[in-house]
Amino acid sequence: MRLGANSVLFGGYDIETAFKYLAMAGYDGIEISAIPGMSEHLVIERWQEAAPEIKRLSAEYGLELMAMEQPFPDPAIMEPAFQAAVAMGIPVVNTGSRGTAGDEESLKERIEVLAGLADMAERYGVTLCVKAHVGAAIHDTATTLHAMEMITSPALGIDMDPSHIHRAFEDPHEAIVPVFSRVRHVHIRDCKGRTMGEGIIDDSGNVRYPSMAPEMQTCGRGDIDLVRFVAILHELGYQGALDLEIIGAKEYSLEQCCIIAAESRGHIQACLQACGAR
Amino acid sequence: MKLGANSVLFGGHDMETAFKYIAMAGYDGIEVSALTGMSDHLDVTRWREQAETVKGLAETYGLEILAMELGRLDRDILELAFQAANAIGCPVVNCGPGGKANDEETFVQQMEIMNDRARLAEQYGVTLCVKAHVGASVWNLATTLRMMESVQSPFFGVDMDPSHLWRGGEEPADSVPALVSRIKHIHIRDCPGEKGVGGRPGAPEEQANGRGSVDLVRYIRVLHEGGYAGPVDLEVIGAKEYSLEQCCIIAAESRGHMQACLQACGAR
Repeated sequence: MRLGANSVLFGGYDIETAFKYLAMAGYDGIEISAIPGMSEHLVIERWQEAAPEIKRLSAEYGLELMAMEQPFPDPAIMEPAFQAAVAMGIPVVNTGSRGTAGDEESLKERIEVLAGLADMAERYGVTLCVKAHVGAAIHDTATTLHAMEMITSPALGIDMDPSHIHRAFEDPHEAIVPVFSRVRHVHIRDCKGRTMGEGIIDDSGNVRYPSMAPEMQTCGRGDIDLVRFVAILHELGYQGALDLEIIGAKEYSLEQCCIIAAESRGHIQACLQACGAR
Repeated sequence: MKLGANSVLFGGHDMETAFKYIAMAGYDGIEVSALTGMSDHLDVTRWREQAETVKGLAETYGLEILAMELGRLDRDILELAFQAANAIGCPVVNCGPGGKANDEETFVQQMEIMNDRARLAEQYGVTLCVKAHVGASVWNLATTLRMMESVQSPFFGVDMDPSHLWRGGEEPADSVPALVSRIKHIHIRDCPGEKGVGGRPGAPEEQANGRGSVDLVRYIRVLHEGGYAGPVDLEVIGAKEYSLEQCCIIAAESRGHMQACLQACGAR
């Protein structure tokens, strides 16, 4: 397995800062965030301007471009995202299904959209990965399996994220097995509790959820048995990308972003060593 | 086990910076560096001026003071360190063994010194810990066992540092069962390259747990199986000129690695 981190963790900083400190923390690669509002690392509308610089940074900091996250399963946005991925040699584009959890019609409609996007990905020679996401049409193992059954394109992969499966009140160690044959990417982070927990109102009047704070997503700080999860991935033969994805740190200090990245890398490294994968 | 880090990692920065970022990295506690030249954190000759500051920082950042590292066994300076430790509620003072490897005369001399310093530690109710150190009179398992036999005071303990045993050509995890009854402190870091005499400690980033060659997953498991429940303090040397971000990364990466090691063996 190769360890990377999504640049969105450094969403309050420029993309070179993300490359510099992820390399310093010992990661093998990087997932480029194309998530509007959370970072300005890759703005899909301007990908042609950004691509040469991202390739340069990848070479300078020795980080493999392992994936891109573009969260909108919309053909008009996804097509340039695929073009950008091809131009930069990025093999995987991660997205969410969107739609509404527990709504059959929404699930059907989202699967049709994803099937079309998978066909498009196939034409570009990249892999589109979708993950179960809290609140979305694809949100648990059952809906993931349904999507796998309905979308047969080899360009459609599963992005397994144990934190969302945990929050779907499932056990990620069990949930990985039935979907494993189509897993082409892993998003990893920890999770404290299975719900948002109790909110608090901050000085700006915004509701914040301490249990969901970025530092609590750091691998090893939450409730998910990531030692076992990584061991099962290894036993199943997974050799792809394992990208840390921490959401919500845009306002965090650079030191705190570095700490979240490094602590998680150290944790995953030990998980890999403990199961004999490194 | 309680996880801490020696503030010497942040030796190029002030003591509050060390407390702040060691806490942010999730450590339970801190080992206060009194290593002059490598940090300006605690100067034991001025401990009365600094004691309240250190205690205040521990409270502000929620870090237990797990140990202090002085490095030297000089009586006068060590007595000041014991006084400081007593005043700030620090239970362990770590020192190097001094002397020369494979030199019987200095070994005997250092044992006499350690016995005297252990009696001094007893007066202040703190524990003096000494570790096997590359090139010193105590440098491997055999000399550590002789030290344990020579210094019987309950106010004396072994500070076990796997990186020095590794550089002494030994497998640290294999040595734990023989030592664990007297281990009162662990210094931990990784070490690059092949096991053996002459091995280099590595650049600070190479000392981060998980980056080197020492099997720290097994080492921590064996400590847990041996019933060790004391402090495990990261000690990374040589980062005085490093940026704050890089010091944070070394601290955090090592904490994450140790956390997974503890989880893997059921200690957390």
